[in-house]
Amino acid sequence: MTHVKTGARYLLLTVVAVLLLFPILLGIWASLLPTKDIAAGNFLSTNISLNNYWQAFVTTPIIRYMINSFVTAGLITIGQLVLCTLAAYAFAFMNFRYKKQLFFAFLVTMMLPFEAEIIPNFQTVKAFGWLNNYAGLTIPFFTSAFGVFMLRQAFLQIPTDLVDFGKYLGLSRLQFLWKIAVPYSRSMMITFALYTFLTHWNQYLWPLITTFTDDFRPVQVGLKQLQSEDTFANWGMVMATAIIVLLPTLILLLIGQKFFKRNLNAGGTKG
Amino acid sequence: MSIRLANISKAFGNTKVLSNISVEIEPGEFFVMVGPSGSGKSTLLRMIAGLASVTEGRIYFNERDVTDLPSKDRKLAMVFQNYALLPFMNVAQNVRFGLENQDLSDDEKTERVEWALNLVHMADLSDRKPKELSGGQQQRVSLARALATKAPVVLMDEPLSNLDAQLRTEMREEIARLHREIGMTLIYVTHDQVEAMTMGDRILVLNDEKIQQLGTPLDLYNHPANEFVAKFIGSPEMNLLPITVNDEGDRFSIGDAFWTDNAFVLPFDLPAGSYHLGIRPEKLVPVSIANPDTITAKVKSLQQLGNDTLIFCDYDGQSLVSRVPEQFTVAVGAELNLLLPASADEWHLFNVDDGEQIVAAPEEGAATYGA
Repeated sequence: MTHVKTGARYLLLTVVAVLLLFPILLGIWASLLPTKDIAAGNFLSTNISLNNYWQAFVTTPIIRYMINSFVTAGLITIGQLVLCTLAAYAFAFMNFRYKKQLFFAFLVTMMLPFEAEIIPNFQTVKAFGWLNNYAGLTIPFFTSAFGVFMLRQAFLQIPTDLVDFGKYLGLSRLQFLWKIAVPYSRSMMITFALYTFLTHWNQYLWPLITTFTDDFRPVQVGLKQLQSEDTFANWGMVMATAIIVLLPTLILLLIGQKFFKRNLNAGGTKG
Repeated sequence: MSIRLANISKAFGNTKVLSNISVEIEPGEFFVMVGPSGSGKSTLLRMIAGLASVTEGRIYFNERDVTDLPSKDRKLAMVFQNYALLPFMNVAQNVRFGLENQDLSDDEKTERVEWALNLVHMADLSDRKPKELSGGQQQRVSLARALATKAPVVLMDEPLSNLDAQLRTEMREEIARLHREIGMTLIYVTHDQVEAMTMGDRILVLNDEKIQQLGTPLDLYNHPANEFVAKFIGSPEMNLLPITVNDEGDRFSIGDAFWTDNAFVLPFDLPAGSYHLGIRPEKLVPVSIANPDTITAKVKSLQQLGNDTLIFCDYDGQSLVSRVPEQFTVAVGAELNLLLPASADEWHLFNVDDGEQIVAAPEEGAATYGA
């Protein structure tokens, strides 16, 4: 009985895995084939080579796109870590008037879809002259209600004894934050950093409307650009670029897996 | 360092937790504050530590007013119930972290850390992380961290309550030893009367916002100031019986009225009226033959502790417990003759209305009778 059950479970998992992985596997396979084979529908061709990757690096600005994405996502991650940590500290450890109301207002912004903020944000960034610039790509994302919420929860799990200990040691607020709170919550901080980086690596809409040149265009927008411009017929190469873009995401996911599993599901349990 | 609390009160909003507490703690004293949960003992400790504000009153260290001094300037160290170790640092780093913000050279810090870890026998495990240690070991590290500061005052807030019974006994001995060796002023908060009795030079019993009694462990045991202390100190708790003394003041009955045919002779004279009589379980001795000084109770249950036997009985709806220092057998449901103590100092009398002790010292001939 249990054998049948386990077997059925594995069968189901395998089917789902194949369904989910199929497009990626097909993409990887296609990226190794010459475009003329793909165009002819000859997917079982044996002309496998890394030519498409070579071509992508040489003929397209993919490296520039990657650099742009790294800079953008990196700056946003650093910005959010710093600002969200400070805000989370205030909400977790300090007492001030209207703290509850303010926190509630923070949470409300989590409910707003980003699309609703695009027009006012665009106007603001344009007024600052930050269009087609790293500043315009990053500064609007330097904080997030989600981040403040997540880190506040992490800080609230620090035992009160430890908070008292910091007090009687005479640590200043920043010392406490830096020497106790942040290292105590480090796995949550890493999770949050990875999450932020991945989210912004995959950003599409905002960079699409705020960047006009390859100097600042990040990968996701760049990919779209490659498809629509001169290379539109070169499917093998487009696939190769897509796989290249996917790699950092996959690597980060693999590294961060244990943190994600532990922290994104963590509710009020103690770490 | 001597510590003096002068008329300390504490309120959280409209809820009063402590009122008018005045105590003087001697330099080098092992001072225990004990009370049930919610009695304000931890709050009092946190006020001494400077972690909680004082609503009213002053706190003096060596006669210097420190009431408004921040915690870090009070030169004290603290040991917490949950150890408050930093999980991302190893044992030695944790102890060293306690010296953070102290004006010491690196060598001096290293020396202090080694000295403190040796004191608590944790030097071998100095590169372990806290989660690789048992609860008792973690608390040793926490002790070392406090001792390394060489603070003249160490405060401990229920440091042993997260440990199992065996470890607790071991750590009790350990803390007492460290206090003997180092001689700091130690203020120790616990809800466990056994810890209080076995460790403290003096014990402060807190309940109901107030000091119930302050004294040495034996003082508290032998002369409890009121019914609360009588029941709180000692395990199993003291038997309390309502008694009524006759008009002549020489005989009494158990219960709310005096019955001539069910009366016992008083070991000393008392004014007529009602009292609560307290008898320690070990002073209520079972005897085989009934006599005019025995009561006959029904055995409800027995607890064999090996060295002691606790006999729980029922006398006329009144629960009594007798403790016999041997392995004693009696059938549950059987009748048992219990001898009432004849000696005056085995009697504890309390006022029926407010539970205050009535001091009757007939031997000295200076009997002071309560209201």
